[in-house]
Parts: sequence; C-alpha cells; structure tokens
Amino acid sequence: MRIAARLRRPPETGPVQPVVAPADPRTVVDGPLDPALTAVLGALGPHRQRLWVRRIVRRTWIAVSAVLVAELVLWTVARVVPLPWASAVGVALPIVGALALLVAVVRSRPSLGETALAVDGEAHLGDRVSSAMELAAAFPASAGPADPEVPADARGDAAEADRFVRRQRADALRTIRTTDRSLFKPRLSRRPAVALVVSALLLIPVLVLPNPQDAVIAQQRQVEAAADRQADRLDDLAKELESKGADAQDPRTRLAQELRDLARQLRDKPAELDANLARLGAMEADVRAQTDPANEQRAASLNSLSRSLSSAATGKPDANKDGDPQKARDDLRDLGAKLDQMTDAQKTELGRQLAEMQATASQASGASATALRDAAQSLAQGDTAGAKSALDRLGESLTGANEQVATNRDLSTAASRLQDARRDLADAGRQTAQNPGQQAQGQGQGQGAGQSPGPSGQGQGAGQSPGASGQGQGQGQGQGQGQGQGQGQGQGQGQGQGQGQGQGQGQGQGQGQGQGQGAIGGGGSNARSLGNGMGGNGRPSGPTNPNRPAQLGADLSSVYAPFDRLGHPGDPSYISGTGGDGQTQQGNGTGTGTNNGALTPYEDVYSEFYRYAQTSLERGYVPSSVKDLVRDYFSSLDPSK
Amino acid sequence: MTTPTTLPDGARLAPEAFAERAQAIEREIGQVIVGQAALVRQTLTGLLANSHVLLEGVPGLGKTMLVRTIADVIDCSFSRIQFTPDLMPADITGTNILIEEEGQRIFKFQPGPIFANLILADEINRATPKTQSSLLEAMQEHQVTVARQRFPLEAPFFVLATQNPLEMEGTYPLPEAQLDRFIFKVMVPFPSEEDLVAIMDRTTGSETVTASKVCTAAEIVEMQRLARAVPIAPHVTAYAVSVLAATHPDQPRAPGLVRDYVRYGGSPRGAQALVTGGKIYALLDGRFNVSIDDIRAVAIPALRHRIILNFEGEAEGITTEAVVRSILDAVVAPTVE
Repeated sequence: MRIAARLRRPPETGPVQPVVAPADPRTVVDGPLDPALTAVLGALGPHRQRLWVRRIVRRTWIAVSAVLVAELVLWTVARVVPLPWASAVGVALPIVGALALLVAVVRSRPSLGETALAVDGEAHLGDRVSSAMELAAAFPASAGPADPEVPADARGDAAEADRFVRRQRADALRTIRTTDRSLFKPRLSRRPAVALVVSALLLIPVLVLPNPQDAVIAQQRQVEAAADRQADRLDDLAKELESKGADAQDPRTRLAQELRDLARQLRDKPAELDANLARLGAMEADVRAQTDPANEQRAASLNSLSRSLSSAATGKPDANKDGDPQKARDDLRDLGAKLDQMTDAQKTELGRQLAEMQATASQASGASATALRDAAQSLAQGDTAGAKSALDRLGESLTGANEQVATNRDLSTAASRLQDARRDLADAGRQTAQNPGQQAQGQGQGQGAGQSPGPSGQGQGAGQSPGASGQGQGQGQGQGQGQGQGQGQGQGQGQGQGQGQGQGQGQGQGQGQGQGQGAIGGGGSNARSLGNGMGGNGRPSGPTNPNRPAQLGADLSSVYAPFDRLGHPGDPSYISGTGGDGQTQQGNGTGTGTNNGALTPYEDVYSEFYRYAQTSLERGYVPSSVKDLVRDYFSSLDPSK
Repeated sequence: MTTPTTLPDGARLAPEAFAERAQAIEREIGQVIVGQAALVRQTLTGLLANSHVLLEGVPGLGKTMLVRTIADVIDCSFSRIQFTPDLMPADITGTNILIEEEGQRIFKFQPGPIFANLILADEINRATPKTQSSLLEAMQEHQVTVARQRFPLEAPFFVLATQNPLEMEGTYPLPEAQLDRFIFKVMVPFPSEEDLVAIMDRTTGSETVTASKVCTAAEIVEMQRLARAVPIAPHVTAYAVSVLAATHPDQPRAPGLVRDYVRYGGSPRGAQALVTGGKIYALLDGRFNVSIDDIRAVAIPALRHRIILNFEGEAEGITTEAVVRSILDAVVAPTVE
C-alpha cells in the first residue's frame, strides 16, 4: 500500500531551474552566418510572433482573474470591516492590473532561442531547431558559410564536426519549413478562467447587495467631521481667552493653551469618539471646578457696592448708576483727597454710611469688606490718614474683585462652550449608533426595575425627555443615557422619588399624555425608547400617590403604607411626542417635591428589617462571610449610631 | 532481404547511411529473433557505442540466441564463455604455456576466448568474483595483461553478458565496478503470445532459419566512430547531467523515491552512457543531433544497474526502474510556455 501510494503520487519535480534558451547566433558569432542558419532564424520569426500572442492571451487571463479575485477579496472584507478606502482601491486594482499586464506583455516577448525551444516542443522536432542554434554558437567555425576550398571528404575531427553541424542545420531547416505554421494557437488557461468565472459570479452579489459597512463609514466620517468642527471651535475659544488673559499666570491664558492641546488631539485622532468625549468632559469638569458658583451674586453685590460707594463718596445718588467698580475706585480716591477738608461730623456720617455697606461688601469681596471696615473704623476714630489708606485699598479691592468676576465669567463661558462641543460631538456619535435603529424600532417600550435602600426622600431617577413641552413634578436627580430622535409635543406628569438608571434608544413619533409615578425601590428604566418630551422644572401639581409595598415578605408588608399608583414598573417612563424633522433635544430637570406621607422614615422600620434579617440568617443556610456582610450592612444603617 | 554494399577499406560512412546499415542489421536479426525489438535495438546500441551490454532474463528467452545471431550477422569472430564456479581467469584471458620450438622450450602466450570480436559471457554471475574481474581490463581498456605482457584486443570488442535472476543459489552478484562497465543492462521480457506462435513456427519445423552476414567488423568500427562524432547541444548535455545527478539522494534535484530508497547514484559513466546512447538513437532516428527524448529513451537501460538501493528500498521491493522513472518525471525538460 505504501509503495502504491508513493507511486500514485503526482510526479515530483525538483527545484525549477531557469531555462537557458539558446543564444541568438547573430549575437555570438562574428561575420556572416551560414545561409541555412539565417534561413532557420528567419523561419522562426512568424512562430515568434504567434508565441508572443499566446503569451499575451495567457497573461491577460491571469491578470483579469487576479484583478477579479482581488476585487472579490476586497469587497468581501469591506462587508465585514469598514474600509473607507475600499472604493479607491477597487478603482485602482484594474488600473494596476492593466499596468502590470502591460509590463508583462512587454517582458513576455520571446527571444529566438525561446521560440526555438517552443517550436521543438510544440511540433515534436526532436530539438532540431534549438540544437541548430546552440551548435552554431558551440562551433563558431561552422556558423559561417561553408569554405569551398575544403573538400567534402576531408579527414579529421574538425572536418567531421563541421560536416555534422551543417547536416544538422540543413535538417533543422528542412524540418522547420515543413512545420505547421499555425503553431501556438492561443489556449484557454483553465485555472485563471475558472478563477475568473467564480470570482465574477461571487462578485456580483457582493457588489449588488447593500453593504452595511457603508453606513458605518458614513457615521465615522460624521464623527471625524464633528471632531474637526469642535477643534475649530476650541481654537476660536482659545484665541478669545488668550486675548483676555492678562499674563501667563492668568487662568484664561493657561486654559487657552490647554484648549489648543485638546483641539490638536481632536484633529489627530478624530475617530476616537469615546476618548475625545472623555477629554472634553474632563476639561469641562476641570474648568467648572475653577469657576465660582456664586460669581453672579458676587457681581451683583459688587455693582451694588460700587453704586453705594460712589453715591457716598460724591454725595450724588446717581453718581455711578451702572455700578462700575472703576468709577467707584476713582470716586473713593477723590474722597480720600477730600477727607482733610471734611468736618468731623461729615466724617462720622461717612463712616456710618460705609458701615451700612458692610454686608454688601462682604458678599462682593472679602478684601473689600476688610478695607471697608477699616475705613469706617478709621473715620469713626478720626484717623484721616488710616481712612484714606483704607479707602485706597477699598478701591483697589473693587477693581480686583471686578477682574475676578470677569475671569469667572470667561471660565464659565468656556465651560459652556466645552459642554456644547461635547454635546455636538456626542450627537454625531449618537446618530452613528442610531441609524441602524431607524429600521427596526418605531416605538419604544419601557421597563423599570430598581431598588432603593430605604424610604429616603431623595433619589435618582433616570430621565431624558426630549420634546417640546412638559410638566414635571417631583424631586430627584436624573441621570441616564438615552437616545432619541424626533420632535413633537408631549405632556406628562410625574411624581416620584426613587433611584434608577435608564438607557435606551429609539425613534418615535406620536402624541400622548401620561402620568408616571416612581416608587421606593422602583423607577429604573430600561426603555428602548424614551420617547420625546422635555422635562422641566414645574410647580407641584400632579397627583400624589403612595408607593406600592415592596415584595419583602408577608410579615413585613405592614411596614409600608397602602400603595396605589397610576404607573407601574415597566410602564414607559416617557411619552413620545409628535414626530418631527428628527432634531434631538434632551434635558434633565430637578424639582422640589413634597412628602406626601407615603414614605416611612427608615428609622421607624429599621428594627423590623434587622430582626427579619437576623431570623433569615439564623434559619437559612447562609455562609458565615455573608452573615458578617449582612450584619455589617445593618450596623452601618443603625440610626442609633 | 537487402544486403548493403560492403564499405571499402578506409572509406568513410556517411551519417545518412548509418541508420540504413543499422536497420539492415536489425532486420537480419529479426529473421531469427522474434519480436524483442527494444532488446535488439538496445543491444545493437551497446555494440555501436563500443561498449558492452548485460542481459538479464529467465532461461529460454533467447539471450544466447540473440548474441549468436549478432555474431552471425556481423562478419567477425565470436567466442562463447560459459561461466561456472570453477572457471578461472586464465580460462578467459589465456595463459603462457611451455612449448618447444626449434629445439628450445619457451613460454608462449596462448590467447583465451576473450580474444574475439563478440564475446558471449553466458551466466556471468555464476563465476567467482575473481574470474568476473578478469573481464574488467578487457572491457574497459580493450586489452589483456598476462605475465606483464599486454595483448590488445581487436576492434570491435563487444561483451554481451547474460545473467539469470532466478538462480540465486551458487551465484555471485556482479560487483558494482563490473556492472559499471556495461553501458546498458537490458531486461529480456517474456514474449507476447503472438511472438510465441511465431517462435513455435520457426523453431519446431523442418526448416531452420539462419541469419546472413550484412555487416563487417570494419563497418561496425566506422559506425562506432561516426556515432561518437554526433554533436550534442549544450542544453541536452545539461539535461543528461541533471538526470544523472538526480540519481544521488543528496542532490537537490533528487525526487523523493531517490532520497528515501537509494544509497548510491550513478557514476559519471552513467552520463556518458546517456549521451552515447542518445547519439546512436539520434542517428538511428535519422537525426544529426541528440534530443532530450533520446536521453530519456536510454535512461532506464543506462541507469538501472548503476543505482544501488538501500536496505529500505530492497525491503520495500523498490525497483531501480521505478526510481529512474521517478527521476524522469522529476527532471523536466527545458521548455518555455
């Protein structure tokens, strides 16, 4: 069997050695050639042309097949992996194939020696023609015309060899003249032809059927374009901040440099949506951390203080109607210069007026409040020089506070624009993920699930409610993720406290009205479509309903008040509005709720929960480590601690 | 039957007449030997190559008859040596014997049967290696040395040895050096049924068929000279060398069968045999150049006895013919698309 298998094997071929074709005698032999040899070479000419045509046809088959196979591979891969450059490569492949074919055609022109070998093989001439060419090169003395002075029966090895070579040449000439002139008919190259047909058949559906990666590529381009736009916005913002920054230590100057770095990162890696969003978010949080939340209140106090100071300094109520701190500083400087001419009564009155401004000054600036207090005390004590100095310090502190307010405003503006940039970039990415859903989802459905550790009065609720109008009532903070597209009108009422997180996406059109209500332990949403609508801060006007008892066990049901609600976990948390042109809005809201009595402070029920847990731990087979965990948990909730 | 005219002494044979004379010899041999055209062609090639041929076949296939017929066709001396275990070298080469001439006793060389143009070494593997080796000098150098005296052998000198593959008992395999002296090892196949019928008709009747002399020894020598003068193109020589190189298991061109089962490949005499045999085949085909097909045609008889299988090859029953065929498959002729 082993031998038989070996003998059945396809014939092995050793390492392929390059074919050394016979050299053209015209290139290796000096002088004129034997007419018979010239005739042999001339007879090879037509065969050479036909052999070249055969080679061209063969290479064309191969080139076309290779291009089709490459196209098939390219577009098959492009259906699996997004290849933005697939179209360019798809167009370039035939061009490259054509160029390669052109080069191959030029290089494939056979030499006379190759033609001789091919003629010998194709016409089974017993290597006559190729031998004639090689013998002409091997016996150059016999390559020229026969010497008429040498007798035909001359003795000697050289004469014998010469006779043999000339006989062989004549034999080759006679043979090639009788050779079929239709040698080297172009052949159908089977393998390339099969590859061509199969590739073409497979390529048709690959090209005709819609490519899902096209949408992905378009979305990626949207993201990249959005990243580029946001980078431009950041550069503009940086330029604006830099123009306002006083020096290198100014927060606005530093922020401008950071914004430029961020813009460069956006341009360098525009496709990294998540990373770019994270970068924008981090910078926004960093900027917001630098801003003073009470800046506007401080600004109002500063204006008020400036007005009051100018009025007190000049004695004119409308001396500084706009509350310009610069004007107030100038007025204070003038007042300081006039202190020496003022009577004690005037100084005392001025001190009193300044003392009345102490509260406003404290809100405007700490330094201003200190300087104001010093000025008032100095005036009350008759210390003119101290009062003058304090008034100067007061004026300078007003200017500084004003500058600080302006800086805070610029930082707040920068934070807002960063937020805008992040939102726009997120919108571009959201559209990316949303487009496939447009085909599959038209209406959302909500499901809720959640837990709350206790009947606390605050919770977190998921929410995202794009829409045109809405009413909300409740207390809580919402966090969530959602995607929606649409525009419409919606009206909703909700009340509740709870905690939950929701996530969903969808597209919907419609109009509706609904009421939702949260519950302790509920309120989570996993809605596929969070609908459209806009959450807002509204005044409490919705019905108030108690929570439904949680499923904690029969013996604990009395812990909770009777529960009747309009909504149920799982109901859609948001009602979709009327469909529009696809604009997306989103928002979140925070409102103030009222305790409707449906909640029971956990201090009142803690002991019952603890006893129930203790009973469960003792009766059930619970690992000791878990027992410790439960005990620690209740210990942490113990209201007596 | 056409009898070609005898070549005058000193005259040259035209290459065009080579095939005609050789075919005349084959035709005349065919009067006696039925079928076996390849056997006759290869044996005649060995003779025209001025070399020697080893025939191997079972008894009764006409090996001895073939040699005797060749001797009958060619006008030359013929000796038959039946090799037996007790045959001594002197029985082949001859020896000095004491004779009395003109009242004096002198040693005079008495030529043995080796001194003939055609030697039939029948059942050569039944003699001892010592006796077999006595043929080495004669086959290679066409001379015999006895008692420090050299005695040249007359041209043409052609040894046609036969050996019986079945009689392993009491036989001595020919050493490799001896085998290498034979240009071809020709297997004598069993005749077909049609040929057997013809053999029966010719040998069992009252009429005895005999061959006529159609060629002289001088003509054979001239044909041998002419055959060596055939030019060969370099790419054909390169192909013959590639075939021989592929018989060596350590060569990159060697096919798997050679790498697995061959211990030693052919010697350079193998390539000489390929080229020389190819030249004669070309002339017999009416061509004046050697083709690659000529090389391939003589590859098996020229190489089968020069390839030594290893133990695995012997155990697996690999034949050297299969090895040569695999080499011919592996070593492709230079072709262009």
